[in-house]
Amino acid sequence: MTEKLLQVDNLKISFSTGDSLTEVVSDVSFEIGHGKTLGIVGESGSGKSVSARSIMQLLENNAVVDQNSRIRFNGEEILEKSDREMRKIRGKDIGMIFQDPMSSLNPTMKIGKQISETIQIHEKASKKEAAVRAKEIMKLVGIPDVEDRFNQYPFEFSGGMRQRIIIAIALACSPKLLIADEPTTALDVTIQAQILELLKDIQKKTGTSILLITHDFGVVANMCEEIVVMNKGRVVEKGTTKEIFSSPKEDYTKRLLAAIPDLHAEKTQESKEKLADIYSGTREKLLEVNQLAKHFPLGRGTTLKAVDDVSFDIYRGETLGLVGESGSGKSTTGRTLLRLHDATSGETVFEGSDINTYKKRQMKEMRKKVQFVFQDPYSSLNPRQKVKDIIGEPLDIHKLFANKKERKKRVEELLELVGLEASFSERFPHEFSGGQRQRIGIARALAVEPEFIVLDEPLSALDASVQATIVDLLEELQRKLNLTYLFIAHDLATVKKLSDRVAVMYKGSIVELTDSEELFRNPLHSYTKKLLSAIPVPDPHYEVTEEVLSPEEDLAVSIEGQSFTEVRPNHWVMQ
Amino acid sequence: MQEEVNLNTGDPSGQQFNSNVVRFKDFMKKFYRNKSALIGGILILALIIIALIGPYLTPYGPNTQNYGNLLAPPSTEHFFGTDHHGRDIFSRIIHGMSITLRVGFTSVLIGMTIGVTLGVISGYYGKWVDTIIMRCMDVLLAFPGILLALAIVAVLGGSLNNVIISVAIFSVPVFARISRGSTLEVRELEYVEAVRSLGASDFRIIIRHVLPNIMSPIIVQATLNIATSVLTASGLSFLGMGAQPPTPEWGAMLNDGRNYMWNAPHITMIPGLAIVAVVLAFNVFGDGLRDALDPKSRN
Repeated sequence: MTEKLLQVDNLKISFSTGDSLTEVVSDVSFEIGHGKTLGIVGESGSGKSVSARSIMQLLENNAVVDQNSRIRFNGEEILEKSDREMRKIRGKDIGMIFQDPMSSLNPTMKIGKQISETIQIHEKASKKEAAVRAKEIMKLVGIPDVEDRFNQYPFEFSGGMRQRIIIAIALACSPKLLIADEPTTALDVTIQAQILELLKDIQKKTGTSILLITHDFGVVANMCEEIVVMNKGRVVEKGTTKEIFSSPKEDYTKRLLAAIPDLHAEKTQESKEKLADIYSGTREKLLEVNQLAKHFPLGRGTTLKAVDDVSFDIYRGETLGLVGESGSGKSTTGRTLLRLHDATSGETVFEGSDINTYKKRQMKEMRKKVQFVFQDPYSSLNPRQKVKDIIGEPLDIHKLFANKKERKKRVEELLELVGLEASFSERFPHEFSGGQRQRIGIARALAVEPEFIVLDEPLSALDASVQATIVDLLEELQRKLNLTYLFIAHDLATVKKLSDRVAVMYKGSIVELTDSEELFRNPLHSYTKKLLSAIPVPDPHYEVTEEVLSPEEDLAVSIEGQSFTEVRPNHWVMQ
Repeated sequence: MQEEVNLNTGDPSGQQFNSNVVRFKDFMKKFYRNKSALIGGILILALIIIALIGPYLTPYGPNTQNYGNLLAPPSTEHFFGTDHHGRDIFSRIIHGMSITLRVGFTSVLIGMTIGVTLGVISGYYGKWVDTIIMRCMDVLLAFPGILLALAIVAVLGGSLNNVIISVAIFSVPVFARISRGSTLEVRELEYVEAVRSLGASDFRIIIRHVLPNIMSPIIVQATLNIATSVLTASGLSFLGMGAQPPTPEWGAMLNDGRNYMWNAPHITMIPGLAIVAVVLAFNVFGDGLRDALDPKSRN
């Protein structure tokens, strides 16, 4: 076969906003051969998703595709097809996998029906035939107990299982091309590894081509033969995966690759000294958490034990990383620590007394010393306040200025401290990018000159290259202001860079706690091992271990009746 | 949300423009494009101007009687004709305009203030406070609006001020419900939690962070409610419970013309049309405003 399965030439897409046209994709060309996988990598706003959607003709109404653009699929010109003709291609010849498995399924429809529906539409199969086919596909995507689960509703499935169902729907009519738009971004890292492996396996069995869109170089490394790197609507670099990883030509690609945290990097001398201080007992204990628990009542007598019996210490000047997957209770721990939730039991000793017993006035005093940086830089800033009022708010609350001039000066100082311009103070949050907003959030937390900051996934909403700059900023601020951090994250790689010690949380408990180097070198708890081996490694030669691929149900590690013990010096494990 | 797409991620030197201007411009642009809002807005503006300066320009006094010219049909001398006392209906309509608008605006303002206060408290504090307040609102809502207003006026006695009070009371639950719902939503947002973690008091959070962010739906509801209030107030006056004769209140004028419907239909028709015009103007404006303020329909 000489012709490629998909050939995109000079794709140019603009969005009309009001009276003007904004070009979001310019001169993008790429191709995918039969049975091949192409990865499109780019940060948010790079135009990667828009390009993919144009192949399906699923663009929004205000999108305009340039006349000279060509998309040839299977020997036919896609852009010349009518809506009716496109409908026959969508789902049949091209399947699409969406990002969010939680919102991509119809919650009121049995999953078996959702899968067989596609088969019925495109292949004029009878209900029975379609059901038989659907069950086959469910087996293919690794859903256990197909007969029973065929008649279940989406809410009865976990996130990973739902993504498998979505893949099953996309595969229902054995498409020639599968478009996967950030298929694993919303999933935990252990499940991500499984889904990626599943896609590979399916490709082997069915020979379908895959267009994989992602922001994560780790994901494409061992998935794709070729990679297209996009930035600001343009193709920056194209090549085989090996070429891109071993000898990237463009600066932008180099920057993106450099932004990937290195799991094997040695800790700095400074961090080692800190650890030595902590272990020898010479460093001051800032916070002592004793058997902290937070249970949420779910009604009818059942409770959700979000945090159960968690104990740890935080020393002045250190960064303690708190890692866990969604639902592990890491955010709840951070919030309960600062009494954004009231603890069910246990104590948080700060400056010699338990925070949970503080009265209103003491609480306000404490809020001056302990601060919080939130995950989502979009929702954590009041959209109707100017930056100067957002950052100035803590100053107002605690009356930390004598006059207006002083307040203004302080706000500008804070902006400069986090690497923003003082003139930004007159603007509203929506005028800033995610990274800039997160800087504003950090400036707000710094306004009261706190000693301790809880960073609740401050990086997870940001692009990789921006993440790196924020990590640098946090490190710099820690050095300058002698701050103590509790750094909450789901991503082990970023935790490694920033943290001196790391605690791994699983199902409401800390299962392992030690310094970050030791944890990566010598993980002891089986859950930590799984978590570590599931990290997508940005190395084309890397092979995923068998352990990661065990079915989701087997992942469950029982921690019932175990206790936290010091297995090696300063290395605590639940066993 | 469209506005969150930003191409130069991470670059600290962002775009240079004044946001105040942009926000207002964005709103005005949508407003202009939305024909119904524009027409409604212009109509309301015209009505307000008439209410303010109209009374100084009318050819006759609102209560000047002329028994030589009873029940006259519309003519060049009397644009809208005269009523059973020979009063010029045109002049009475113009004078009645300010009464109608006053009733509409003040009753809604009172109802909104009370309703929003209760709703925000209810939504913010939740638990038993919420239960008590919202059950009371349910009781109020259980009565048909006009019936409730009628009952209140019957107790307080028939006068224009009592009409305002009764209409205000019956619009309280609507505002309470809307603001409670929005508060529940805003309360859970991270920026509220962020301010709480800074040590802000509940009062500060409510005034500075919750209220400004729930205002859009409330303003829309207020506009739509003015229409309802005008209608209810005229209804009460029509029943003789509101403005007392000879006040040129439109509802009362409708009532005046009731007995002459066959031989002088203009006496009822014209105040009726005036009420329809005002109600329509506010409804159209409110609908348009809702579209213009809705962040989902932006761009």
